[in-house]
Amino acid sequence: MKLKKEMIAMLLAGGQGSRLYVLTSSRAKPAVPFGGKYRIIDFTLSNCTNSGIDTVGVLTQYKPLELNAYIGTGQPWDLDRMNGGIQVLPPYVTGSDGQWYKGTANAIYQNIEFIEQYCPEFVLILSGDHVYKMDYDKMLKFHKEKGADATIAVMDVPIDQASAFGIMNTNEDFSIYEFEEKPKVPKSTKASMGVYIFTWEKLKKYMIEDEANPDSSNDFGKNIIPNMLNAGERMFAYPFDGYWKDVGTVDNLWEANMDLLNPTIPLNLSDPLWRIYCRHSLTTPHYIGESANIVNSMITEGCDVEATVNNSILFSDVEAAEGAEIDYSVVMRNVKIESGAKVQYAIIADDAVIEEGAVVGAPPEGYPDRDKWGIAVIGQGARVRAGQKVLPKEMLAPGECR
Amino acid sequence: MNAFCILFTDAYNSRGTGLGELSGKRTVASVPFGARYRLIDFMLSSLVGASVHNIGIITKSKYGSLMDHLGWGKDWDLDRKNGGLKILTPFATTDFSYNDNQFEILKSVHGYIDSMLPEYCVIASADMVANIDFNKMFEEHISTGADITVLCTKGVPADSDTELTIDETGKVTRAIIHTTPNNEEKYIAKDIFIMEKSLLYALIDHGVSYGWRTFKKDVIAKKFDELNIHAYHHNGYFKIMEGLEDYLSANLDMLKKDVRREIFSSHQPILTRTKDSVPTKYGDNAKVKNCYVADGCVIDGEVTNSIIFRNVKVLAGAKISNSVVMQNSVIEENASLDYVIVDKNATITQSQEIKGTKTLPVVVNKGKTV
Repeated sequence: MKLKKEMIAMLLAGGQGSRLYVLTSSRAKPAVPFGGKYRIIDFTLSNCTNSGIDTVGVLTQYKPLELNAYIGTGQPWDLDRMNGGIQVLPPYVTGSDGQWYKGTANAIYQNIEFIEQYCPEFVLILSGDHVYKMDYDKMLKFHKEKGADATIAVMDVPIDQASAFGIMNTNEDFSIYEFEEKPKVPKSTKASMGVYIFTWEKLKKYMIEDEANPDSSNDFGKNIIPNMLNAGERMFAYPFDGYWKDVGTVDNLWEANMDLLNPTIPLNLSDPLWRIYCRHSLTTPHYIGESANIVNSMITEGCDVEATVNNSILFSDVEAAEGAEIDYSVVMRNVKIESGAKVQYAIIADDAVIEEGAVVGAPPEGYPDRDKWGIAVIGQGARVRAGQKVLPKEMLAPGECR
Repeated sequence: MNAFCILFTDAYNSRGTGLGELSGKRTVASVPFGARYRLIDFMLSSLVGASVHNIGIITKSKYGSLMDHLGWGKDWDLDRKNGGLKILTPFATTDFSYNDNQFEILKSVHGYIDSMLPEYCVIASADMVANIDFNKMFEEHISTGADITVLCTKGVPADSDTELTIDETGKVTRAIIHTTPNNEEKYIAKDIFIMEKSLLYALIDHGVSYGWRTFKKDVIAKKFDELNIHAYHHNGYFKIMEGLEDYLSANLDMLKKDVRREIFSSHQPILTRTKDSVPTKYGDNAKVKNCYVADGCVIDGEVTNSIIFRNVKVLAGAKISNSVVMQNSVIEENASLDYVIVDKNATITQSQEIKGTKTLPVVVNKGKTV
């Protein structure tokens, strides 16, 4: 017999993240490394722990091996609990038929049994694709105060970007009267963050109805939320004020990493009251050598740096030799950058090697054709041979050699 | 390796002041070292690397910080259902004053030794920096059929070191306490031994009856002709922390690539308690050369030839050289440190200058504001 939980979290982590291209060709988007030692999913999981949520179901589907290994028992997030804790929920077969998760709502629907074990009053739906720090307990309080059936976290976005989001149009008391998915002419700037609290009984009812509709795409944004609104359920927008970023594209991932180096951006990873937890690799302190020159950068355990590093983030166990230059770049775990190599405005994925004198990326200033400029990306384990060049916006697939 | 270990965490035969202020409020074993470690990590990691999963930790006094560091042993993979890490707290009765006698102490933990299933026992101490291959030492112990194997290093002995003469098979033929100063290299016995559990029992009884104090001086020096004592020569880096000079120089040794590789990047990793620190941030004014730095720091000053622990803040204009700065300490604007050991949570305020020397480093005590 499981103990009853007031609220449990369901984390949608099956996203393919196809707009991250080579960075997600061998792992799910939530497992993409971020910020020197984290994975994207660490933010959501740490938010759960810090908000007092101790039961989290993680719905996986796309390339789950690395993500599953990373989550393990949940111990790094203090989610290895006797009652509750973290549980990975892949799609499964029942009897003769079984299926992949058809949509976000269907993924939750297929795990009704898991949820009901805890008899929760509320269910928090999250996605593992965003970088932000948020107290879900405050949101739950808001949900209860409003007597809501569904509460959707929203944040203000600039009006010119609003048409890229699901926009909530609200009354003065934050109740939602209209929801528009990516409107051409947005009426408000309250963008959905993909964080929902539902009163479980209500959500269950709508999911079962939605499942019975063969034309539905079984998606929260497209089906469940519009259906609940149309039926006149009590739905509220919970205003969030803080840093939030969807790191679903190469540009966004690079930008969010650079944000960590910008002191004016309110994403503080070292707040002792709101730690971001992660699984540690067993490694040593980092060594900064005689010839190193490091300015405005983040460097973590196990690195051995003799290079010039400006405005960059080095993940663990990176080796950067004397005479190499790294500018405005994100260099992931165990990358080797040999002497004389130049890495600028690039993302280098784990285990890649940039050989002597190779050049990856270039600064946007003075680049002849601005339209062809972009972040250069080197996939996991790829190798750029001595003297070779990878142009801005180019990508090397995992394991590729040039 | 079919062995359990009794690990001593204080110096039992210290000839000097130990680590002075650094070990004033903590055991030697829990003195911080090498940017993110504690001294005990080196011995624990060497043991775990050789699959010794039963480790009894002897404590005497001021072991709060040691227990805090060890927890349930999870970080060394010693949180086992059977065995694992066991902290053996001092068993002191009113008429029993705790002394520095290894044999008395071992007698008091008889119960733990009784409960151990492995046939062999490692007796070790945790006041050194080394990455020891216990599997190799154990193989030699078995293949030579020795009663006791003692780890030794080669070097110029210091006063009161136990100096060994060994034959070509590695058998100890003579052991003396070093007294006459000269510069000749010798084999020097260290506080690390392997023996069968049954011999351990016999030695404990004998040692207690005859008032013996330490394994190195009493068992090795007095029994080399009676017992078959084999010396295992440890070739690599090995430094015992016998004073602040040793402590500072051993820390700065970690800046040497070959030492760092041998100690930290071998097949046998040095494990320690993990904390959730963020990566270290280097600011616009940072100038850092030849430093070993842990996570969580914010460095905007000039730092050379130094060891910087977790969550240290070095503000713009501060200058640090040849120093060790421990966890959470803050070095404010334009302060300057040379040959200084700054203990945890200390603050060096603006423009303060502190200067020690290589042989006489200055220590800033834990929590102190200068």
